[in-house]
Amino acid sequence: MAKKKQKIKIMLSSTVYGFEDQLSQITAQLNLLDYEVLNSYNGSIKVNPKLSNLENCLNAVEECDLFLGIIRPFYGTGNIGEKNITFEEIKKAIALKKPYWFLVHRDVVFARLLFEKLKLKSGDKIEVEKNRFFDPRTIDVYEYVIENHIPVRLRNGNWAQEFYRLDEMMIYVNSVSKKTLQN
Amino acid sequence: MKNQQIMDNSFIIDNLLQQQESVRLEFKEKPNKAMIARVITSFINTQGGDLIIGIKDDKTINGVENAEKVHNDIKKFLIEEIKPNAPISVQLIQYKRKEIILISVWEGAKKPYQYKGKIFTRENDVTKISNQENLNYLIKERKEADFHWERRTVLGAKISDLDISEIEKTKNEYELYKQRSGFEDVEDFLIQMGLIKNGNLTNACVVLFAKNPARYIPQSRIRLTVYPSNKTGDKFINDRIFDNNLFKNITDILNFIDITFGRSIVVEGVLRKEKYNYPILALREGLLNAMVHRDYNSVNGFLQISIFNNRTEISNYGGLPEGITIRDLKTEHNSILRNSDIAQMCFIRKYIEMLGSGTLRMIDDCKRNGFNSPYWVDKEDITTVTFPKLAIKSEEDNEGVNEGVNEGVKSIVVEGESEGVNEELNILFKAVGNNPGLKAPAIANLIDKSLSSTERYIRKLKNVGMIEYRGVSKKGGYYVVKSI
Repeated sequence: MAKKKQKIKIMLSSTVYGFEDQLSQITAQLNLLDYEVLNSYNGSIKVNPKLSNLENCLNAVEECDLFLGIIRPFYGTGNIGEKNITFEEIKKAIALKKPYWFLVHRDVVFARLLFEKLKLKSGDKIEVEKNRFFDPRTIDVYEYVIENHIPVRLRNGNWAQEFYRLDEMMIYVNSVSKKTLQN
Repeated sequence: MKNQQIMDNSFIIDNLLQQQESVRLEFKEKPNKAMIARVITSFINTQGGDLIIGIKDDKTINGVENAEKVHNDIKKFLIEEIKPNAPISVQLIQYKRKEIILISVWEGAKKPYQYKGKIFTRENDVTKISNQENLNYLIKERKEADFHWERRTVLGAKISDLDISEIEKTKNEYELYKQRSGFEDVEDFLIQMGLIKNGNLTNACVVLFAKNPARYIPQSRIRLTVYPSNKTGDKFINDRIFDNNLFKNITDILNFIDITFGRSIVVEGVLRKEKYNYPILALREGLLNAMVHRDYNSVNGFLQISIFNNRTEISNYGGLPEGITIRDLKTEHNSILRNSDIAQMCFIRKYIEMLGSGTLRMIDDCKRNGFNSPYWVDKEDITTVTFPKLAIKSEEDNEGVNEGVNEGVKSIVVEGESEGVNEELNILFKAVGNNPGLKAPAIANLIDKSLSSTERYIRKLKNVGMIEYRGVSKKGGYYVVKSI
């Protein structure tokens, strides 16, 4: 009997709020591209009932062969104490030197540039009121990824892509996946 | 109540059974939920379509056992399992003494749609898992949909510009449609529905819910004009602009139409019932079609309702979508949505049923209620539906009997009497209503008829209980019965 082909395991890491549809669409796209997708929202990571959500998610990062992180302007509700699950997953993927791609929402990229230039005359810290379209903590995630990225000379193609709409994300996933599957 | 959910849409099944299975149509004998979900997902990803359960491939009608429960289970299952959310209509229909289930969907505007992590598409009469080439096509279609007018944002518009009560109503309806939706508040609802994107309101959101949408989208206004003749011109009996949000406009226009055409009291022996003087379902459907399919993209876009003395017309800027012809409108057809986000909210609010059968239902409603069938014209990017002979008499025709009698009721129809006699009865009835307490000679004088004819008409109206004589014989007079 022919041995069943082992699929590449890809971890899809993202905040969920207001993004459920797109997450399920990217999951379906990755399935179609013949990956095995690990994603908590779609219930496709192994759950050990003795472990916390965060621990289960971090175990999935260890298990994956590839890591796809999506950084959106929404920080997420999956926060445990000071820890944000998506951010912790990203840190772990980088620490484990997993091959990764990142998709970064345009508003996060723009906000980082803008916030660098914004200063109050008083010197006080600028605070952003709670809202549903932008959380400044998402800039921390983006900066962490930038600052901890592998040196330019070791890069293999674009590691991160700015996006605004779903089609941009899907086209990016198609093109990087083609390269990965060829290698 | 078992029969409450059974829809009287058997004429749609007649129409579908004349066709073969195709890219838009499938028959299934058994209600296998997974199989159904795959087909429906493929329809939404391709051209929309209809799936009938309880019918074999050779079109033998077997029906569905325990149909009401099966109907409820399938509906819940499809709404929860197919993502992104798409409007899905699941109807229980009594057909040839069997109960069958009709599931209908539009082509989706948030492609690709998936069920259980798999994207399905339709090729001829076969449902398939999508391949890479198809996926690229679906992504392209999605991109085009996201650039469409209704998904672009209205710069400067804020949540405080919106009519919160209308959003609440829609949110409540949505929570009935899809259980366990659990929205935190109206803003959360609009974000989840894609009507707020990256913190901005979309055009669709403003058309649907703004307190004053014309401030941002002047072409969202609707005009209704009543003309005294059979053509447009300087003279009109009434002219109104409806410039509220879509839901308020629907209510206001339907109220206006109801008052304009009025209702009749039909008397059959001792039984009386109210009858609309216009095909209410067909007019409503025609109005909603125009609101949903109109092209808002141009500032010159318009929606005009014109009531002439020999017809009624609903015209909107925006020709029929590519691939649809006038001939298609008279059969079950692919409903290509110009404004899918607006259409979805109208579906949730139960203002439209989906399917391409809206035009079929209009024709059916007119036939059933004795009105002429509507017809459509698509010319120079303007689509017009005309209801022949649906008109009101000019003011001159109604002089003297126009005001007052039984608010909302324009006329009475006594079954078995000729049209001419019924006209005379109405004149007398209105005269009595406006001048209570008159005796027969005074009424005869008022309506300019002979005393004998007047007495004859009075007897007829007395016999059917529309008017009565009150008081003693010398001092009394005729009155309209107030319970009408």
